Amino acid sequence: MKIRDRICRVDSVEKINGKVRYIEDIDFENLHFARTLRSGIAKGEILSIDYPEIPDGIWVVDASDTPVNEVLMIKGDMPVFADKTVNYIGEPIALIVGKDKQQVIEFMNGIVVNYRKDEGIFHIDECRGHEDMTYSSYEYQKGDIGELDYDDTFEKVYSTGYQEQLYMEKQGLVGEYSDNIVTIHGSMQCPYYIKNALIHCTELPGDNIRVIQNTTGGAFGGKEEYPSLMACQLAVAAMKIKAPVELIFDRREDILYTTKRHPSQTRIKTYLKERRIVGMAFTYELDGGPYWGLTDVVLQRGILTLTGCYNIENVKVEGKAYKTNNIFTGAFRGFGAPQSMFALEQHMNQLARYLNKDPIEFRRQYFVKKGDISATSGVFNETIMLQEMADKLEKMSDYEEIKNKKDYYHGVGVAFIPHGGGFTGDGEASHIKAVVNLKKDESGSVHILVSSVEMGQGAKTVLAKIVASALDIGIDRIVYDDPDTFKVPDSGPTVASRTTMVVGGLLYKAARKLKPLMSQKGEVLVTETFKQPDNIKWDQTQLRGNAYLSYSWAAVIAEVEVDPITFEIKCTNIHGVYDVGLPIDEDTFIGQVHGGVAQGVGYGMLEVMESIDGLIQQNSFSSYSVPTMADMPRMYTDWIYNPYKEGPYGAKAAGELTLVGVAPAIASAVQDAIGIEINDLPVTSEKILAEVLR
Amino acid sequence: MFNSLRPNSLGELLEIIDNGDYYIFAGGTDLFIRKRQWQGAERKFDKDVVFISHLEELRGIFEDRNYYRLKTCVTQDEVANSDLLPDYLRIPYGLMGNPAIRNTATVGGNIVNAAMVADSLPLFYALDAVIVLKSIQGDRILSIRDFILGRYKTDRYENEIMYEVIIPKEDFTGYRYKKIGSRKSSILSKLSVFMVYRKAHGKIVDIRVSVGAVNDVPIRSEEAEKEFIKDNNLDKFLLTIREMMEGEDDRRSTKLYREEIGLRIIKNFLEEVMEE
Ligand SMILES: Cc1cc2nc3c(=O)[nH]c(=O)nc-3n(C[C@H](O)[C@H](O)[C@H](O)COP(=O)(O)OP(=O)(O)OC[C@H]3O[C@@H](n4cnc5c(N)ncnc54)[C@H](O)[C@@H]3O)c2cc1C
Repeated sequence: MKIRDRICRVDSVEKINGKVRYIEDIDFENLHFARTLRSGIAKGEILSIDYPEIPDGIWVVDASDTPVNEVLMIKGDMPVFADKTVNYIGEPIALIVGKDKQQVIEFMNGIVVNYRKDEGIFHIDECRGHEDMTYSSYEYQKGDIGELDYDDTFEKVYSTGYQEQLYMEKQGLVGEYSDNIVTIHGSMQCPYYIKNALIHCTELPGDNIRVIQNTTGGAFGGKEEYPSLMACQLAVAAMKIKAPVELIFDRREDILYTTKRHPSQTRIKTYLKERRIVGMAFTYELDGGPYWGLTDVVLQRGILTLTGCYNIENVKVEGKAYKTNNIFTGAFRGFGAPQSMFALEQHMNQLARYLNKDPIEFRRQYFVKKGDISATSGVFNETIMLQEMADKLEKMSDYEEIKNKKDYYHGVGVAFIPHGGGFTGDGEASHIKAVVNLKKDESGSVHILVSSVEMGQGAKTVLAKIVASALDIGIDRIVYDDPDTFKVPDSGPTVASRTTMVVGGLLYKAARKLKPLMSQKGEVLVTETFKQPDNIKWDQTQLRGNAYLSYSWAAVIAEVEVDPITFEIKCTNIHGVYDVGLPIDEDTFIGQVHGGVAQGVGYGMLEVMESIDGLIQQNSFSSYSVPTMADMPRMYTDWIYNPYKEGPYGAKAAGELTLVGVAPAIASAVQDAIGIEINDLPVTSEKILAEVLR
Repeated sequence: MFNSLRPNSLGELLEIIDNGDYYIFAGGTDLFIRKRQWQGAERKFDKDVVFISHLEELRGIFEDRNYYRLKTCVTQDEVANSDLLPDYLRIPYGLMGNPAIRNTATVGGNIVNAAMVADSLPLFYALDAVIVLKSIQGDRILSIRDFILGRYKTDRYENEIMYEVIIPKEDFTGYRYKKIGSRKSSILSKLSVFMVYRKAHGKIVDIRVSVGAVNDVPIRSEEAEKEFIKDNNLDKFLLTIREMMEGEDDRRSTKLYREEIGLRIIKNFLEEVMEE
C-alpha cells in the first residue's frame, strides 16, 4: 500500500460490533474485587483504624503489606498506601478485597478511620514564597529584559481551572501473581512506566514483572502515571491473596480522585516601544497537588514555549509548581500548554485590541520563521509556514466578512499555537531511549513490536500504515497486538504526541531495513533505536537550546454567539488550519481535530470543576458538563504540507496540538462579542454576568 | 437482598403496596441512579421494588372538553410527540434529558421525585394541574401545589400511587419557555422559566409565570399575576418575584445568575407579550 491511501481504521469493526473486550469483560479464574478505602480528610494524621472483625473471604491490603511503599513516577514521594499521614481527600489507605462485592461493601461500611486533622493548603496564593510548598522552580531569559528601552507596558493575569479527562472506559486493572511473576492487565498508556514502578515497589527482578495492555477506551493522559499507583496496589494484593484481583473505579471515584489538569495562573507583562513589542515577562504557576507526579515536566512544557508562535527579542520566564492538599494533578493532553497558551493568546488578543490592530495582522509581525532564535535560545531549524497558514485561515473562514458582522452579540476569536513533538529537550535520547522491533514471521506477516498503545487515537492504524507503506505490502499483513512487556521492547510511553513522529519514525527506518530481507525464509527480526538528530542541542540545567525535536502548528478561529439576555454562549464555528508535516492518515487526523475541538470547547466554556477545601464538587456526568453533540460547533478543517525530515513520511506531532488553540479562540471570541475582558477559563454565563454587573 | 415484583394489574399493584413498604419503579431514571453503589454489585435497595411502567392502566394521554389527562407512566417522549397535546406541554418535554432518557422517564416519576430541578413542575404550577392518587381505599385529588411539599417531599401516602395528572384546558394565545443548563442537552436545569398567556382585544387577560430550579419548589405568584393584568406594571411584578427567590450557589450555578437571569427572562417575555 501507499501512505496516502484511504483505509478503514484497523480496529473499527471489532469496536463497533462489540466483540472487543475491555478489562471489565475478561474472566479470570478465582477473580477477587478490590475497593479502595480512602482518606476522608485533606491533610492530617491517621490515629487509628477500627476495622470490624475480618470475616472469611475478606482481605485488607495496606502499607504493612507493601515491600517498598513508594510509587515510582519521577520521584517516589507518593505512597502506594497512605501510612499515618494523608495529604488529600480520597488518598488510598487500603484495598478491601473479596470475591463477593456485597460482602466487601458491608465490611467497608463498618470501618472507622480516626484522624487528627491539620489545616490544608488549597490555593497557590498560600504557597508563594514558601520553599517547602514549592515542587520546582525554573527561570530562563533571552536578551535582557532589565536593560530594555520601552515607553509603555501592558500587564494582565490569567487563570485556568481543573479539567477531567473523562475517558469513556474508567480506570481499570487486574493484578495476578503466580510462579513468582506479577502480571498486570488493563487499561493504560505506558506499560513500561508500570513495569518500572512495580520493580521498585515489589523489589522483584524485572524478569518477574509482566505488564499487558488491554483494549483501552480512552486515556488523554489520565492513564499515563495514575495506573502505576493502582498497579502497585494490585501487585501487593495479588501477592498477599495469591489470586487475581480487579480494581475498576466507579465513575464518581474516577472523577473525584484520579489526576486532573493542573489549575494555573499566568502573569504576562509586555514592554512596548513605539507600539511594538520589545519584551515580555512571564510568571507561570501550577497547582501540583499533594505529590510530585509528573508536575515538574508539565511545568516545563508550559514554560518552554511561552512565547508561542512569536519571535520576541527579550524574554524572561519564571515557572513554579506548588504543593497543595488539592486533588492529584497530572498528565492531560496538552500537558501545561493549554494553560500557558490560553494566557499568551488571550494576551495577544488584548494587546491587539489595546493597540487598535486586527488580531491576525498584529500577530503576523511577530511570527517566528526558520533561523529565528527561540525563547530558549535554540535555533528554529525547520521551515515554518505560519504566514501561509494565516492566509489560508483568513480565506477559509471569510475572515474579513465574519469579523465585520454587525450583530452585536457575534464574536470572532483567534489563536495560533505551536506544539513540540516528543519529549522536551533531549528527553527522547536521555530518558526514553526508544527501541522498536519489527519481525517478519514464517508466513510473511510483519509484527509491530512496540510498547506504544492504541487508546482510541488511531495508533494501530497509523503505525501499521507506515510499516505497510514502507514495505509496500498490504495492511492485512501487519500484526500489531496489544503490547505485552514479555514480548515487546520499550518504545516509550504513549504520550507527548510522540507515537507517530518518534515511534513511527523508528518503525519506518526498521521497515526500510527489513524490506530487502523480506524474501528470506523463516523469521527475521530488525531493531531500531532512537538517536538524537545532530542539530538538536539541549542544556537541561539552563533550559537552553532546542526545546523540541520539531514543532507542529495550529491556526484557529472561533465564532461564538452570546445570548444578550441569558449570556449563554454558543460556539457556532471552529475553523482550523494545521501543520502536522503530513497527516499519515487523513481520517485519523480529522478525528484528532474533532476530538481536540470537543475537548477544547469543554475546557473553554463548559467544564466547570471547582474544588472546595480539596474536594471536587462536580463529580458526575450530570454536574461535570462535557459537550454533547448539540454543543459542538461546525468544524472546518484544513492543513498544509510541511514535511519534517526525521518524521515518517514527514509526519510531526498531531495529538495534543488540536486541543490547545480552541479554548483561547473561544475566550477571545466571547470577549469580542460582548466587550468584556476574559482572563479566566472556562468562560461561563455566570462569570459574564458577574463582570457585566461589576 | 431485595425482591422485585411485577404486578399484572393496577388492582394487584394497589394490593401489594397496601401490604408493605416498596420502592415504586416507573422509568427508574431517578431511582436506579440514586441506588447505585459499586458497578457490578447490587443496587442498594433496602426495600422491595415494584415495577409499574408495564401496566396499560397507567398509560395513555387523554382529553375531554375541559381537561388533558396524562397517566403516570406516559413517557416524556410520548408527551413530546403527542398529537393531542399543545406545544406549551410538548416543547418543554422535548427539551428534557436526552432521547434515551425521554424514552424511559415517566411523567409521574418527574413529579413524585419532586426534585428542585424537575422540569415539568413549573409547567404544572402555571397550568393549575391536579394530581390524582390511588390506593385501595380510593382516590385523592390534590392540586400540584398541595402535593409538592418541598425538595424531594410530596404528600403521597405509602400505600398510594400517583395515577394521573389532570391539566385544565385554556384558550391561551401563546406561551414562552426557556430552560438553561450548563450545556445544550442531556443536562439538569440551573434555571427554567415558563409562561402562558391569553390576550383579548390587545390586552392581556390571563398571564401565568413560573420559575423552576431556583427555589426548592417552583416560584409562582397568582397575586402578582392578577395585579399585572390590572396595572401592567412590569417592575412591580418583577419585584414580587425577586422577593420570592431563594437561590443558592451550588455546583451547577450561582444564586446571582439564577435570580438575575430569571428576572431578565421574565422581563423579556412580558415585554414581548405586551408589544405583540
Ligand atoms: C441523563 C439524565 C438526564 C435527565 N434530564 C432531566 C431533565 O432534563 N429534566 C428533568 O426534570 N429531569 C431529568 N432527569 C431526571 C429524570 O429523568 C426525571 O425526573 C424522570 O421524569 C423520572 O421519571 P422515572 O419514570 O424515570 O422515575 P423513577 O426513577 O422510576 O421514579 C422517581 C421517583 O418517583 C417515584 N414514582 C415514580 N412513579 C410513581 C408513581 N406512579 N407513584 C408513586 N411514586 C412514583 C419513584 O418511587 C421514585 O421515588 C434526567 C435523568 C438522567 C439520568
